[in-house]
Amino acid sequence: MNVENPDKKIQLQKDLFQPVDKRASQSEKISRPSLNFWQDAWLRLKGNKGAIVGLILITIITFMAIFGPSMNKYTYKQQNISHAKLPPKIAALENVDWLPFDGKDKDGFDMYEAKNVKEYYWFGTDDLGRDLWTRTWYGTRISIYIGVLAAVIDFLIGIAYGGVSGFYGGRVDNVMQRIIEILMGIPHLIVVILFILVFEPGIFSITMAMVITGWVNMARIVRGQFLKLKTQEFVLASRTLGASGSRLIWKHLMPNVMGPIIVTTMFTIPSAIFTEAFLSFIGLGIRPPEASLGSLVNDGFKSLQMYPHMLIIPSVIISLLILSFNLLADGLRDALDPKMRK
Amino acid sequence: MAEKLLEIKNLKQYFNEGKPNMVKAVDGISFDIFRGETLGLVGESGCGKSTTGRTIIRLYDATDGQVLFDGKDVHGKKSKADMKQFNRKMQMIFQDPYASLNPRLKVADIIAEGIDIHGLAKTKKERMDKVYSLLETVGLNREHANRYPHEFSGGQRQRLGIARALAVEPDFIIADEPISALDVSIQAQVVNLMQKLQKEKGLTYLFIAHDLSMVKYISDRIGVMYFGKLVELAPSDVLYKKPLHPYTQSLLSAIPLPDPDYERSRTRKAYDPAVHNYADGEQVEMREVAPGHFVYCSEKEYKQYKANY
Amino acid sequence: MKKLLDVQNLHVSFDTHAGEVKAVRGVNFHLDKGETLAIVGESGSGKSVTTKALMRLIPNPPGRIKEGKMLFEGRDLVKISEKEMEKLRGKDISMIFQDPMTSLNPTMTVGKQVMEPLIKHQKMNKEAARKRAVELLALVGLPNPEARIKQYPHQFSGGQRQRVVIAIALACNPKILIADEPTTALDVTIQAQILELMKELQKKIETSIIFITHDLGVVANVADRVAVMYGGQIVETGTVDEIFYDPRHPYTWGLLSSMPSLDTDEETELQAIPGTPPDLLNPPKGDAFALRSNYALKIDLEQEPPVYQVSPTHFVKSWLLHPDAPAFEPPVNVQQNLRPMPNNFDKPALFEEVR
Repeated sequence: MNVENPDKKIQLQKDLFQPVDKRASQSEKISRPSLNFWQDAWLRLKGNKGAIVGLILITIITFMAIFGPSMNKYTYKQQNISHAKLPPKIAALENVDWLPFDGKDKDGFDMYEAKNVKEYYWFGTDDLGRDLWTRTWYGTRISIYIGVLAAVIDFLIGIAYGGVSGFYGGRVDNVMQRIIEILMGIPHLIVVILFILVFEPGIFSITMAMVITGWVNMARIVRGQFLKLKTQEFVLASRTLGASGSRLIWKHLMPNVMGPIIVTTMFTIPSAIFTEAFLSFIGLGIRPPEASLGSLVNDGFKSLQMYPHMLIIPSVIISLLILSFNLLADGLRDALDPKMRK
Repeated sequence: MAEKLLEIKNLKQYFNEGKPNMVKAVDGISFDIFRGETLGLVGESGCGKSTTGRTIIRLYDATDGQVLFDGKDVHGKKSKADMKQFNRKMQMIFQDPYASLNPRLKVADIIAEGIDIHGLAKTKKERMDKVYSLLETVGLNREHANRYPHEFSGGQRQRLGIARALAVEPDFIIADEPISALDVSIQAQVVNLMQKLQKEKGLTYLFIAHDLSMVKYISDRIGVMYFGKLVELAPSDVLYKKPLHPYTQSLLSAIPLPDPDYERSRTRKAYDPAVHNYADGEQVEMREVAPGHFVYCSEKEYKQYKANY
Repeated sequence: MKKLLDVQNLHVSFDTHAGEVKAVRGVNFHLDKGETLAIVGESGSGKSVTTKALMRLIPNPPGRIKEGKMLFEGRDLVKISEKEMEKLRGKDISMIFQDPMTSLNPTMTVGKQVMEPLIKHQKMNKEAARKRAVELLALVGLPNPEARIKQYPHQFSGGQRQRVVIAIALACNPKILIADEPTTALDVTIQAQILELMKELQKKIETSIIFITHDLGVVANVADRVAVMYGGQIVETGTVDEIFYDPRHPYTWGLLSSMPSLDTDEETELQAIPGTPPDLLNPPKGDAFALRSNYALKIDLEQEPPVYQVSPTHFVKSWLLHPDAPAFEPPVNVQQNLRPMPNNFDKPALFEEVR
């Protein structure tokens, strides 16, 4: 401002005090950049360190599960008794003292020299001389398969069931919810044991057990969301325009439930992975010579004191896997929660 | 005002019928809406005014009674084609500008929903042209078509809701508290827009609200509801100058006006349903006290009102 | 009269991922003892944020008080510690929120909720607090308070709940009561009752009230003084008569003429304020209201207007009061109500430069 003194008036040109045309239309302009829901969510997810760490870990582990077993010449069931129980040894890292990849056991005794083994077993071998690198990543494959399966079941059965129940409501909903309650009432372990009795332990039994009960949680969430959204005014508006049922579901309800669906799925995956590992650990899961992270932990558990690597490596992988899924799911929940939107 | 566009006869809407928690949301109301007029419907929350609107447009199936639109019954069995025809004639504007637009759809898709459902545009270009012209009709511009609802203010969203309803070129629009959630300055925008559209397109409105001064301004006639019943129906000037039913009087005396002097002298009348003191078996119904002025009253009250009119 | 509360140059901002939203941009106002100040404005004008800042209830992050002073009995509320603020909240300054459905805890009896501030701030024992709670509920006009303190909020109607909320707010005889749209969620008849109750209680316990609303009818009913907010700033303050019968700011004109009176007939079109409130992420240059004003001057688009004083109590932030500005007629329905104010100066005086 030119002059502070009010007596002298502010030295402003007179022509500044001319009226200007209406420019109301300018005030209708929206200056913020246009972001749709997913772009907005991605912006928030990017800001969440934990979720990004989780995402990177999942990518790495998945990559290894796919390509790890074919990185060396061993197969998951190839035995070599003379090479049994070797500690890990990796070519480049064997000279780094503080890393456990020097082929020495916990007493500092070089097993490779003692058994006169020329090959390198990156994660060591088990008590039948099978390569643990291959078996570990092979087992990870099973875990990820189970995780993906859980997600697929959630999507195929859970969403459809919950959607139908919530969309139609009333009597249909009542009957469908009672069925869910019955399913929830049967302990998971009993379902699995039943399948093992009828068929045999293995991936098939676990798959079937999950098909029976794994989707219940998702169905409940989708139903709840549908019931809530159904009374929202934008759905009513669409109904007064004469929208068909399928239009309501696919255009209005489903897109608005996607957030909760994704979050629920991301939490289902680690819990399914954990369940499989647990079942394999107590011997109800994968049968040898197949391997899963759970059965590897079980094998390693037997010789924990002598050969800790057999337990530690699969344990670390499974923990990382579950942790990273949970981190990502947590981040997604924050990113997709509409209440945080501003 | 001659032609009846809509006749509502003894409309009833009960929820949880036959159960102990039964609610008589709308309890036997009858009125007509003439072509080209605006009928205001006022009352407190929970009096059934919104339910009335939603039942008329068939979001709820009526428990009893008739809704005749252009002489044809809206409720009862109808073929899909009939239903679609009806959906084009009657439309609704909703209260909550934040809940009435699907947050995952672009504005263009929201407005074009009716066009898509009824196949009103043959080509993509025709569809977008319609969307643009609708946006301009409600005072927005074509750049807004590619944005998402959350980027708009309350008043802008409400105008989008109006554009969506207009897309199917209806004759009759139910406005369910369209301005209650808006700021005063924005309320006038929406009301002016609705009036302009009424003039241009010959629309008929049922305007549901609890803001009485705005209702008085926009409506030709006003109905007052109390606990599921219509208690008074009159041309808007008459209702404000000569309210007969004690509930209407109480409602009118409660409106604060932007005039400090008036406010200092305003006295509020309370309504106590006991004042009627109806005897058992006394016939209480809508009676025409003066031409076009109906009051829900007993025979005795009717004579009294008539004598004092 | 002594100033109970003096807010000076208050700035509040929110950091979002799109940038800094300047919700309150340099607000000055004061509150005298025993008076009711109404803050009017549309949503997004910063009226709620201002009062939340007074209670220090702005969530941080993303919000923060950037600048300014809030002097309450000489103490700056911006500077005192959270602990000290806790002692003030509910005791010296209390607040009533808009929605009576969510501002009560559904799992606690109403009695307990009224007793809580009494026990916390006034160090009453349970028995005394209970007695006082009954008195308070009787004071706000709830019938049969002895029995009702044992009930839960869902057993109360909307109007009754708001009465309970008021009882809680008044429990410690606060010096300032902030009412954030306390009647917006209520029906007109209930609204009238609550307003009467608040005025009556104010006489009894001499509380000062800050009343936030967008309903000008309510303002005319309750206020002694009015502050009109737009785009995060106060654009006009004055006594209730000055604002309604001698408004000077084009936004106030717009507000007043966009409401129909009961005499407005259908032929006269309402003077709606066109357009949409500014996005405070990028506040417009100059006068925030210029883009929507029918009375905009060139300078409005360039420079922020200074504050002019029309009477000892009437302040207007607009270039229209500059001596060089052309004389404008306010809209017709405002003109109908114009009347000369006894305390007006001969000419508006420049009160304060723009900072």
